[in-house]
Amino acid sequence: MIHRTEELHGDVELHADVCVIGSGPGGAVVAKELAERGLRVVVLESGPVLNSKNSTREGGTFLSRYVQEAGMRVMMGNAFVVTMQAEALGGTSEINSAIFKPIPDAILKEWIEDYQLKDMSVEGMRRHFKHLEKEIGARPTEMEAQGMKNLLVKRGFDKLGWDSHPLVRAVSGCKGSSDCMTSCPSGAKKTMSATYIPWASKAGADVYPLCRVRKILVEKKWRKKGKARGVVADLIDPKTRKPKGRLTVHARAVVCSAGVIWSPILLRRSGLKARWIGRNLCAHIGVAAFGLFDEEVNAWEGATQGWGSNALFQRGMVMESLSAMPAMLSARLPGVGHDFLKRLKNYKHTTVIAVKPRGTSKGIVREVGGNPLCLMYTRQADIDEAAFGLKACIDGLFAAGAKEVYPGCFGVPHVMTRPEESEKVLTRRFGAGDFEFMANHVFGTCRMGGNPKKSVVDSWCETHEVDDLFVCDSSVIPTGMINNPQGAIMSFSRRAAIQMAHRYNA
Amino acid sequence: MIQALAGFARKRVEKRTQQVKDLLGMQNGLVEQPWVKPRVERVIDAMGMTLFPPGGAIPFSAEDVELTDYMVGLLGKIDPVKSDLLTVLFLVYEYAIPKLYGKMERFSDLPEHVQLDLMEKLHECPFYILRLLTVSVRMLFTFGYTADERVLEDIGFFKRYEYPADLRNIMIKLESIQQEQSA
Repeated sequence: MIHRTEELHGDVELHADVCVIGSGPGGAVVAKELAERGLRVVVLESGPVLNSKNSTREGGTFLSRYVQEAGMRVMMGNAFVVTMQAEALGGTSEINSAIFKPIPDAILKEWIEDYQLKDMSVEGMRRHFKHLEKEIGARPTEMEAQGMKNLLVKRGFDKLGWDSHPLVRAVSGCKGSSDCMTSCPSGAKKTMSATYIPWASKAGADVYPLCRVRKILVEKKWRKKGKARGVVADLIDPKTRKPKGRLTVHARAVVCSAGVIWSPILLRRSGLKARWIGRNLCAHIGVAAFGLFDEEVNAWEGATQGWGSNALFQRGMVMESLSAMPAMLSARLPGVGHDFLKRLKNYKHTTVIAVKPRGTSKGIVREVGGNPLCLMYTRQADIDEAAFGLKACIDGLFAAGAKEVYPGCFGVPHVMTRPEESEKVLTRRFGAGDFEFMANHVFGTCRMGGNPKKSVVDSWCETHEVDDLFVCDSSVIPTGMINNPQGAIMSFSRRAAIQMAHRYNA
Repeated sequence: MIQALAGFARKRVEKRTQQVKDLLGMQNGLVEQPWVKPRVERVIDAMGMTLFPPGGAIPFSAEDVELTDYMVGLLGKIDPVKSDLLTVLFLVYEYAIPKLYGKMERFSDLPEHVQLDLMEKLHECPFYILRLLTVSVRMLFTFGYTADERVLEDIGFFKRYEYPADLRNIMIKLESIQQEQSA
């Protein structure tokens, strides 16, 4: 049952077999698998319910209500990289484009070798992915839902002879309303709140939105490994977003799926001291280019991200079409005053190609004054790869017929009008501050591994330091993985959940 | 042990700070302070009119869309720490940034063409932080500018209003209630 937390007051105590923190792709899958196997599951989510009844397309309002830190979280370092994670029932699946891809086999093999994941196999993970792909109904975006913005990107990739394909997304019957990031109005997008959360609830799980976990209760005995015994959470008032009561869950196991930023913070608050908690923050640090066309593109029609290319996959990056609210992408439009207004007016003639390199940069996450502090040093190699990827985006846009391209970076012309100008992106040595980076795919802060000294969780997502405490979100993924991570998160989580069910049902 | 002490100390400091604020009658949030709010509104006005001037390709200026009210409202909605940081940023724009370019006046007191020139120079500034702050501020202002339905309609952003919580739907509903009541 999905509870109305507004009706809870004071101190509440619950008992369960497993308490799941977070209702994103990791937590929702774990909750559903465990509930269906007969375990009593409680899911705590810090955000409110987000659906088409309470969503809005007004950017500032939406971000302040449903995105952590109102969408203003940055990973600070030699570049300030914006990163967004949702705070809503369903987690970041509520605001992503629902792209559903597996972990590339070569990268999975690399993880198994480098991180000593002895119990894991490529075939096993592929089975989990296939099951999830079928269960969630992921399929290539239909041509009718593409819209001009995606078809122009297709045109560009086709003309250059590059790999060109519709993106596989967890969407069924897409109407092309381009609202993936503000809650799909037609219900076509298979977010966690439309799939795994209701399925878990139907199987008997209790879901509590607006419950922010403060700490995981860890029972520790002298010279023995600790055991997770539950959580303490604040009940959040929906209007003020301030605590109004306390909720304690006593459980035999705790699954932390609070995301790359909050999972390590919760582990640290709960007394875990493993060196790698909060370290190894990795990200797909992406860039994008705008193209201006003569024809009307109407970027608010068609799937948010409908078309992609793996032409640069061997180099460790993918290219995808992209759209978002005009205000969000306007950062890449050049000009001030009348110039800027002219470009904003032409928004309906623009489309965007984005590129996401796998990335090798590392960072850390710490808690300062109750809030996350994310630091990341963007390596020159990643900057050079971003430049290479940006050139490919510019080439794609010109091939599609763009009359102007805005590369959105410093040190090259803000407006390019000829395809040859894309070479300037390769001739200049960029610094980290020259790009407007964005990185919504983040990983690694509770990475998995066989060696307890170099990892936080084992291959079954259980922490090395504390028994019965699991982490099932993208923080266990050891490095960037080129593809979008939702499929990977759900695969790891399903695998871990099935193992947990054997243990706690016995 | 150290963490527990630090947490305890932080809570004590927060409690004392709040007590002092309550004693002095100070509102929460820097932007709500009576000596800060008018200054912030003035600089937001000036920056808004520079970014979105009248007579442009889109026929609505920052004043027409009440951008200042939106921005001050946004500062009230977001996390207090970020709100205070943004308020400080606006004050830096007002008092410090013009001096970097040899202008002794406040940003809001500069002539319009000088304000525009300053913002263009900031976009091209070799110092990453200044460029970043300018682009970020422009993005925030664009959120406010495009929050106005008329701007969206002018750029052709026509959407079926499927979200009950969208302002236009609320206005339409209010209008029909008012008509019913007057009838």
